[in-house]
Amino acid sequence: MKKDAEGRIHFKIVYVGPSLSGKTTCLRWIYDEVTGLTKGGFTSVEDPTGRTLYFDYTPISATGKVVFDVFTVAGQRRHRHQRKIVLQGADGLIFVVDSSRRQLQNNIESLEELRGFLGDKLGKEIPMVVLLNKRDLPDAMPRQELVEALGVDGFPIYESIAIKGLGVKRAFQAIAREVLLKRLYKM
Amino acid sequence: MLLGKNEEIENVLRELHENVPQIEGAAVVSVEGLPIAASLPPEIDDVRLAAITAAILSLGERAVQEFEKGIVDEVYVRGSDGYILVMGAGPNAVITASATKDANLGVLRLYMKRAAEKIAQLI
Repeated sequence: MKKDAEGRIHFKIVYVGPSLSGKTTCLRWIYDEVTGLTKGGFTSVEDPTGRTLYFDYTPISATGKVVFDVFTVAGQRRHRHQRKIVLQGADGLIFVVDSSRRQLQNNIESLEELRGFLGDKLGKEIPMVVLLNKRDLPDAMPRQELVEALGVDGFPIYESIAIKGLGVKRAFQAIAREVLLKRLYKM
Repeated sequence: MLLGKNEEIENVLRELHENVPQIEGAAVVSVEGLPIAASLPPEIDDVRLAAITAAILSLGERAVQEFEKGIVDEVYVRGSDGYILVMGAGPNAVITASATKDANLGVLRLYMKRAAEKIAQLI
């Protein structure tokens, strides 16, 4: 949380999760399609194939006084250092899970890395919602099995099909609310 | 004369007050939990009401998720001395009202629903 020169309060929200789980797709969908929010420019540091190299970023505002600076991290294993930097100062997280059974191990590794970076702060000081993405895949794991395999049953869970925008806004609103409750309202 | 959006929202809240005098205060809050407009007595702070609304929505969301009940349409709390009602006003906002215990819940919900529909057009 920080205040800018115009007195607006900024909160940092970061989409995390394994490579190709849909983090950029979520942020892009919010940027392109969601009404009722004021959005700034969309910044992306990506390679020629469109894979995120460092981060994506867009500022989003629901009222004039509060701005959510929303980032994604690069999901590929080799970008661990960049992820650690982007996560610095995060007020809230959306962990994007690839629901495909073949991706379970990548989801687990990504979550373990996040727990390693943030330790006890995760879910306590820094609220997180879990977005089970790609629910339309033929090999999508059943919700409860996936939640148990990841050990995330204490977190708010949302399901999504990010390429169609389903569930994306609701998860964003949920983390924005959790961040405000924790950081602004101290509840 | 054309009114700004905020003034229009405030007018809707004022109208709600007039139709249901048992309402002590009402506010429009973004779904994220930020205050947008309010018609409140001096003893109720709009930021505090927004915070309470966010907390109520957060719990409501958890409940509908857990029991697979879709999305939150409304949440009502009945205390020994009155009601607090939170009602969806389109995809981006909710309307929260605090009412005395002698309010008729059916009437309160009816007029809040009408106000919510008007607000949904404005936000």
